[in-house]
Amino acid sequence: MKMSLPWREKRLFVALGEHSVALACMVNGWREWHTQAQHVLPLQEEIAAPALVAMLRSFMSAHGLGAGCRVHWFLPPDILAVAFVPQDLATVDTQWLPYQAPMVALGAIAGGRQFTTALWIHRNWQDLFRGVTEQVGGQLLYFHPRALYVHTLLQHKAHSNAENALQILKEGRDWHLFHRRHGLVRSLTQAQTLTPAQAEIRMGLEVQQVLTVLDAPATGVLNAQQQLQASAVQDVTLALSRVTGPVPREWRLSSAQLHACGLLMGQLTSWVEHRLQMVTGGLMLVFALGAAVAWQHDQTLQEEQREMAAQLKSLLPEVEKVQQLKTETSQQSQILNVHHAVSEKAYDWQVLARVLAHVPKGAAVQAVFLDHEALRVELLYPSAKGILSSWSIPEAIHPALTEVPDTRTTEDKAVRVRYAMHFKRVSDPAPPPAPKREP
Amino acid sequence: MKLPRLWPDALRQTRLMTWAPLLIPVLVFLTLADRWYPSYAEHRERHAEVALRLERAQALADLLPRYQEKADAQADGVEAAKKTALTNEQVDASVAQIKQHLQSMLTAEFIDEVPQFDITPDAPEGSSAGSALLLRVDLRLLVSPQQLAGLEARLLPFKDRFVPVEMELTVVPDPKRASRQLDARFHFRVMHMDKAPVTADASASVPPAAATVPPSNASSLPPQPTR
Repeated sequence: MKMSLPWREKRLFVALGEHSVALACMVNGWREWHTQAQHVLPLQEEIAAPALVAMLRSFMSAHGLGAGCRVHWFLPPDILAVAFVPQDLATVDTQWLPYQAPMVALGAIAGGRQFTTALWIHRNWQDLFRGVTEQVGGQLLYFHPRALYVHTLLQHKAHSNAENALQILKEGRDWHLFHRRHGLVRSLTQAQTLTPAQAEIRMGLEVQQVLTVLDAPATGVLNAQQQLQASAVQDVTLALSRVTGPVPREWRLSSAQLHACGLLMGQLTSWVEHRLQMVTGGLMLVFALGAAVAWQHDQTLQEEQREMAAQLKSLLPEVEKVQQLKTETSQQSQILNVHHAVSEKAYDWQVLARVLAHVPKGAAVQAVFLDHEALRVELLYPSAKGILSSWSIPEAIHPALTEVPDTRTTEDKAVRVRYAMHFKRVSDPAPPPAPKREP
Repeated sequence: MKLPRLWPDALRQTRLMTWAPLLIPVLVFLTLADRWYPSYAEHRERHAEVALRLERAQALADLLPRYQEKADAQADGVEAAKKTALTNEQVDASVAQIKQHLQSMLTAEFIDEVPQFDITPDAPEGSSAGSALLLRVDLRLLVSPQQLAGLEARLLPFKDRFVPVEMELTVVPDPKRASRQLDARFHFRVMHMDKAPVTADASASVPPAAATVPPSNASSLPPQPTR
């Protein structure tokens, strides 16, 4: 069993033909109206309200169409006329109508500046169908030309890609003329007294009028190839007569298609209000959901914030300890830097006394310079005799001093010799052993 | 997109007030945006701020073992440095202490010719001003070799405090005594430390043996050796 969603509105479509009445229960789908159930009932006599009421009531009760159900009537051209007016309907009077203007309901379904396809129906017919609709508890909404029913039911398409291609569907005495670009432009019911040949001639004149307006409005000259051919007329009577069995899935109408081709007879206020309620409700629902999500997120944020604040509080002693240690280690580093700078260039106090105790005999110390790198001693020899060319410092005296050649200057007979002895660096690598000569 | 005929028909049939319900969600939305969103935005901002603070605090707390380790590693060196430093509240006090101490040594050795006696602060390269400071002592004396030996003997016990960096001796004539004497130039380095540079709490990380040394002892100079 197919579930029907609450917003899927059901409507009753009544297609009135020459010898039959098609009743369809239509459901508003996502993009188009489609058939849920359809009955085709024979029409034995002239159209009468009691018979129609009986048919509609029976069908509605069988398919759950309750009170207030909106009803669309698809009427043949002898009831709802489809007239081709070669002018803009808004700029001309209604003298082309066979009745006084107050006696008809009039509307346009296609056209522009060049022409208008007008729908009109006499008030008597209007009252008849409104009465039938109200008697079955429905609401009259639209009168549509039966051509729309025929066209969509049989899925006819223009047989040519030409810009002004025309298509003629013949349904008994009803002839429907479709333009490729403008859709339904003319629909008429031929008189019973006309022979088929006469009917084709009349339809040919209609075609010529349409082509004249659309193609050559200035001259009105017709092309011979545009003359009506009998073979171009498609008789759909037989096809329609077959629509009595299972529900035809082909009868699908888009809302745009449905509402653009009809005469509005009912009130749409409640429909608009219903739609607005749905939109308003939808928006409120969306906002409510958004607000609920945001509120939940807000609560989560606050909860997380409380937890993080507690964690932060528990970390505070450690953070303070780290900051304290940071300051302390910085001060420590500074103290160590200064201490290193103070002691890095210190020399040994005792080296001077040890070295000077071994000054060569006869030499007199003239100057001494001592720092952490070297000990420089200047000796004055009274003569060149006895000068030490190099002052070797035994390890017993000071193991850290290295031997360095002297430099000398002569002053008269005395000789001034400078010795420079460097301290070994701790990091100095030991000199590699001298390579032995091969025998 | 072509508007279905129904909507233009519906617009013609309805009054303006029919469309008023559409204002309800708009007003609700505006009210929510006006009344509630500021506090929501404030909560989000505060949440982000607390999260950032927590992240930083956690990063700092993670560093605690490293800082503790570093402090412990440096504590011995700092204690050793403190033993060799002059600890006073201000550097001027240390300067005066050095002057007084050296002057007493010179007096004890009867050295009265002192052409130069300068003490200047000298920050080591790359260090910033802090609780410790390097003091440079430049001393020039005209002495006999015996006086020099005596002075060295007096300075020797303080070699860790008055760190000798350079010494230059030159034999020069002594016109007063018709003899010769030594023109001696000394360059010492002394470390000054502000009192209590390390916080009391931080001293807890110092090993107990080092922590038991009272700071006041470090600032006092031991008695001079007698000849």
